[in-house]
Amino acid sequence: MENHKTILQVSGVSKIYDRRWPALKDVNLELQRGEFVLLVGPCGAGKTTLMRLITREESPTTGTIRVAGDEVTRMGPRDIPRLRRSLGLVFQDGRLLPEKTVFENIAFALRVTGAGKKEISTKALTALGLVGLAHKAKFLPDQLSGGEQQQVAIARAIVNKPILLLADEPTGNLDPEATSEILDLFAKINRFGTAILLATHDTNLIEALDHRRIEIARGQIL
Amino acid sequence: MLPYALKEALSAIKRARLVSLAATSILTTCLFLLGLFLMAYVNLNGVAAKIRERVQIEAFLDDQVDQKNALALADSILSLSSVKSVSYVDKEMALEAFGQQFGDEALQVLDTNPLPASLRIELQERDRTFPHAQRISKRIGNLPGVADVEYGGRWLSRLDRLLSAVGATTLILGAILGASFVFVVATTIKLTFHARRKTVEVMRLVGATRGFVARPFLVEGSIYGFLGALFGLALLVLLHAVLSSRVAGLLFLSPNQMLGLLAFGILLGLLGSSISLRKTV
Repeated sequence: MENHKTILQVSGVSKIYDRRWPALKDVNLELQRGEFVLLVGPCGAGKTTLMRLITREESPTTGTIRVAGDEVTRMGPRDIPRLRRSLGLVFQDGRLLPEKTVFENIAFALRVTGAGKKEISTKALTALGLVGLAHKAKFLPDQLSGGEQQQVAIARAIVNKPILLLADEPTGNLDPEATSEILDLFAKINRFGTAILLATHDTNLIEALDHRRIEIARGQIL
Repeated sequence: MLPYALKEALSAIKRARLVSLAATSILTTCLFLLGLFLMAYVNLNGVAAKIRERVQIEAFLDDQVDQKNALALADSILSLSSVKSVSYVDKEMALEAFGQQFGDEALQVLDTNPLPASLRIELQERDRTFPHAQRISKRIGNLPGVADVEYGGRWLSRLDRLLSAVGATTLILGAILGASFVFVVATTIKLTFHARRKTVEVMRLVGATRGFVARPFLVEGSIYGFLGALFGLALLVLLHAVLSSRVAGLLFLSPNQMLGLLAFGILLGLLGSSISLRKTV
């Protein structure tokens, strides 16, 4: 990943599962390095589909996506892991591994990159410290509250120091207090220079955040 | 990387105890049956080797050939490089041997001695094989004064046919059992993969390569293969111990064959898990 000013560039992207209802239609957007952008739209607007295209879980029907200059849509299977290591992903349900401890869940993201034991320990504990859960490193996800689980998911997402953090409805399952903590955490991560694209349909959340908004509805940018 | 894959594989086996137990039992049965046929082949081969050691050619002489000519004939046969020794058996000695074998009553019904004199030819150890015995017998049979040649060719060829049949059966059975083995491993890995699909999804999303995702499953398949072969061999050892008390000289697999069986199990386990992961990872 080169040192590009534009971290994310989505150009003319469409995704068609059903011709009558395209999931995405000619989507264009850009995110600059260190920027915090809200992707706002109702359920079924195409936010998650766009996230899945950026992470190359799926390929667009037409158009191109570039992450730090690299064309995601042209990447071969061997390049996709490298792309995902440069991104941090946070989902609504956290997607923590229930049989692994908090520490192991974070260490897992480092282990897949081939990091050594010492590096894993240092980075995982640093990330846990950043989200304020170092003292719960040995807990299992089930022993944590919803907000704490999401904090662990964020720690896992940032442990590889991503250039772009993609958060898909990260506060969808949380109460207002936990939501506020998560938003503070995102702001903190953003201050360290990580660009954030946060997808949400939560109007309260949108009003609470003073960031650039990109509105999406029926698969199109408004 | 490998210790991690091994750790993950062992913990997956531990988690799915019942499935692992069922898979290992089936694989053990497969490898035990295969080992059983291999053992049968080894024993038949051993018997065949012993019989071959005793390969002897007997050249029956015409009644007109007297002792002097017979000894001259023996000398000419002894000059052949494959021949170790030649001994002359006259008609009386042949009758005596017949009497010892079948009883004196059999001799009493005979007015004259119908048995021919013969030359017993012992081959050099290196040449005691069916093709050699056949070739030399043919050569001796063409010598003047030799009426007939017997070298147990029919027995040897029957034994060879039996060995080929058991060998072929072992191969066919090996292929069928091998395919079953691969199928069982592939199905088991598919089940454990399904049970760990969330882990795999997270692995992919955090940037794990296909190799990294696949490795624990490949190791798991190899462990199943190894355990199946190990327990199959253990059962064979038990069976051999039980049978050895009843059948003297029963041979067991050589260390190389045992290692081969273990390697075969691991290889099939690896193949089964690779097939299972081909479309999913």
